[in-house]
Amino acid sequence: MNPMDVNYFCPQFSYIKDMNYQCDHCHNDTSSPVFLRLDGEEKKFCCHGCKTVYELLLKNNLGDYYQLSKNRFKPIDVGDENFNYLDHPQIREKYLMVNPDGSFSMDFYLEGIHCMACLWLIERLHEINSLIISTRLNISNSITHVSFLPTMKISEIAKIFNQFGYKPHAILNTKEANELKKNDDRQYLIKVGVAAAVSGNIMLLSISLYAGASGLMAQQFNWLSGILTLPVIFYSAIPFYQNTLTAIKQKKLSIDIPIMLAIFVASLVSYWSLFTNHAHVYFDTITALIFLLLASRYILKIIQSSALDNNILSMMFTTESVLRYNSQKKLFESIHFSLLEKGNVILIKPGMEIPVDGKIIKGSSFINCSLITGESKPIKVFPDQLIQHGSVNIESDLEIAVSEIGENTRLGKMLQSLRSLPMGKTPLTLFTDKVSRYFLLGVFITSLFTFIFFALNGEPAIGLTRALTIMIITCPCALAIGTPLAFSSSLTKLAKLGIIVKNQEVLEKINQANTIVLDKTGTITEGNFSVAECWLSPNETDLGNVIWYIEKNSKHPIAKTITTYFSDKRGSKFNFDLQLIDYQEQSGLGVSATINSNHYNICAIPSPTDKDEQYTQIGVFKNGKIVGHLKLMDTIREDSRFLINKFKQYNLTPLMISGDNQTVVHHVAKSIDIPTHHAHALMSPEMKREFIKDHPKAIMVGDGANDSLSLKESFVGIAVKGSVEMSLRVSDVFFTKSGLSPLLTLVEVSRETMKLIHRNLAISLVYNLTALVLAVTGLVTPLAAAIFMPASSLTVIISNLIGTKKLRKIIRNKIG
Amino acid sequence: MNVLYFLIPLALFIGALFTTLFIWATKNGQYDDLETPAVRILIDDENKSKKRK
Repeated sequence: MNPMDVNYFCPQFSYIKDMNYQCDHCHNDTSSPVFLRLDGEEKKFCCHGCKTVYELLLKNNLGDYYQLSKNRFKPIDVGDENFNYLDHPQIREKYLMVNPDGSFSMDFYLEGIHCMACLWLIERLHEINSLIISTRLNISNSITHVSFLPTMKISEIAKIFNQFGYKPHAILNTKEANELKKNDDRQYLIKVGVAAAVSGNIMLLSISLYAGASGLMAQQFNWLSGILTLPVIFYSAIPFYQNTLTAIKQKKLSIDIPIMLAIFVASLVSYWSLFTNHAHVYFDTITALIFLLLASRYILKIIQSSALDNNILSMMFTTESVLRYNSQKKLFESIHFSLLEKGNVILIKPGMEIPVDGKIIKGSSFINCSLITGESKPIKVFPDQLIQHGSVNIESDLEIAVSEIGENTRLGKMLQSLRSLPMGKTPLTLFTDKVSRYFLLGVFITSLFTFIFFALNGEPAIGLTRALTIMIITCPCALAIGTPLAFSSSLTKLAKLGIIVKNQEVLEKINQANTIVLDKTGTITEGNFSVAECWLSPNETDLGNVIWYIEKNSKHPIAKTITTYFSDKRGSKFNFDLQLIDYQEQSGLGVSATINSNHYNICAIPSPTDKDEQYTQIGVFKNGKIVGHLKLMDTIREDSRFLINKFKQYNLTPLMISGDNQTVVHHVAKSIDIPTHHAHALMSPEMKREFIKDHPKAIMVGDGANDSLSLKESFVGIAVKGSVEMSLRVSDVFFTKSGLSPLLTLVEVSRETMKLIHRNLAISLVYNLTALVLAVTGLVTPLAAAIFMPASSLTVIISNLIGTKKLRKIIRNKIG
Repeated sequence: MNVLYFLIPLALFIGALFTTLFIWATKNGQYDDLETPAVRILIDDENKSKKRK
């Protein structure tokens, strides 16, 4: 097997890397630009998509877009989706809204909204297409409201969004759900407003009382305060009563209980004093307390509602369109997934994931069940066989009768049980919840004892005042609010940076991890292989076509490169009806198939000579004999080395695993400062999973169908951009940007979040101890207590907003 | 000090007025989205006026 003494089938060319162009639209680097000549100037773009958008913008006088945004990253992979399923009449019922003037409206969630330029562009879509009347975007939840003329097709609207790089998801117009939530929020704000107005006015009256007003005037002011307080107690404070009721029903101690008790006792005493002409009125305390508490909770609500919605998250990971058989039209049409019912027949093409449990009616193919069975070897299936949600169709079309959908499928049930920890309850949060309950009990007891002590000593009034103060001033809010708030605001910030974290527990886990296991291809390297050299035996006819035919069934980056390379050279003589028998793919290692009773095997081979060690060598074997040799090169990302060293600084040991051969793996490891004994080659998916099992506290970063097994197994699993949908289901984090730098950001943000939480806990502890002492010794009045307590929870909220210095730096550097 | 009998009800009336206006504004969705209008203001309108000409 000496490539030197044979004629070369294809020209030898070396990989040109040093010519780097920057795309004029998205600023991404590209080495093979697409050019456009405009007004004598030559513009370059990374792809036809960017070029089309550029032309479209200029044509519609929207060139200002480029002035507005300096820091754009390439929009999420847009793909070639057609949105025809949106035109289905049933869709119109569920998603469309009809306006009084006859026009239609619809809401879309758009992926990739991140800056002012996006807002500017989205709200000017009516200038590009005259059938669109208006578009209005809400930046905090990325939902855009589109009004359009009835003649406009919904799929056209979706295509326009997609073209500009914002992948659209239609949002149900369930008026009830949306309106209900909006109404709730508005009602809450009104309660805050009423409490604010009343407590402010009462405070005016109170000042004169504190200043010494007495007699008739004092009496009249007290009566006025008493009357004004009524709406606050009976309207604004309702949320507290509701929460207390819920807490009592669940037999749990919550912070609302002492608050409600304080309000109740204070009101009772105040009104009694009013009617009996005593001076113990606490109306200012009550209203101030209610107002300030409501205000802090409202701020909390706002912050948390702009956090990544769980529904939106799940939208990104589910199939939206399926091909369903329409028996009237006698063909398969594209419809939205939600319209699917049991018994429907759907068509699954090669490369698509099977979205339901069902029975095969027609067709036979190879499917990949690694998500379910854990085995990466494809399985052959035939008509009448049952097939499961989560498997991927590899070879040919399958028609399937639907038997279970969504959460009722085996995979759906499995995924549900995987979510064992409900959103928002990490071990740390559960711990702080427990602590706050004991805390409340302690406060209660202290309060009671203080009252009894003073009552026994003949001064019940002082005892009451002190007890009230104690109950009001102490606040475990930092525990109950501070921790979840820190987590959810970190998750939101990460989402804005393109790092999607599925739940809060992940941040804690990342802090505890001690190793990072990296997959080589696509993560450490660019993942864009190119064929550097190619030798095919001249004795073989059509070998290029055969290789193309076999490789096109695999989704591995290497297969894609080989397919692209040979697709340019395909002749028209190729017989596409050739039966591909026994197609097998060993993920990451190679593919094999039989055509015309010749067995072909295309796989990774160890490098024949040392000087070629940076190439990935692919050997093509026919019936056991080598007939082709390809040298592929994948460039290492520029920042890999720097980032690897950074991870070492954070006490995370970097390990590298790959399906590629030893020499390449060692070469890459050397270039990025990973010791060779930490780099493992020729690993099959099963071996990778075993490897992960040996490292229980490892963060695994992987990509592609290769790694779904190990991602599921790992302590923290991170799926990298471009990975198959399967990976997204089994991993905890998803990077929408490529490369390792999001990983560094994630690690840093996790560390800083934990630091922030500890800081909040410390503040809370100090505050509560001081407050308790002051209250027991009578050095604070109930009014002061009413102000301090919400102030303390406000401090925790502000402390979270400020974050830590490092968090601020990260956010500032990365966004806009 | 008798003027207080006029001033205090007046103050309360004005307070009630503004509270009512606040309730009306909130019900009409004024405070639903606090983030986007802040960004929208920063965008220039030159294009629109160019086109209208």
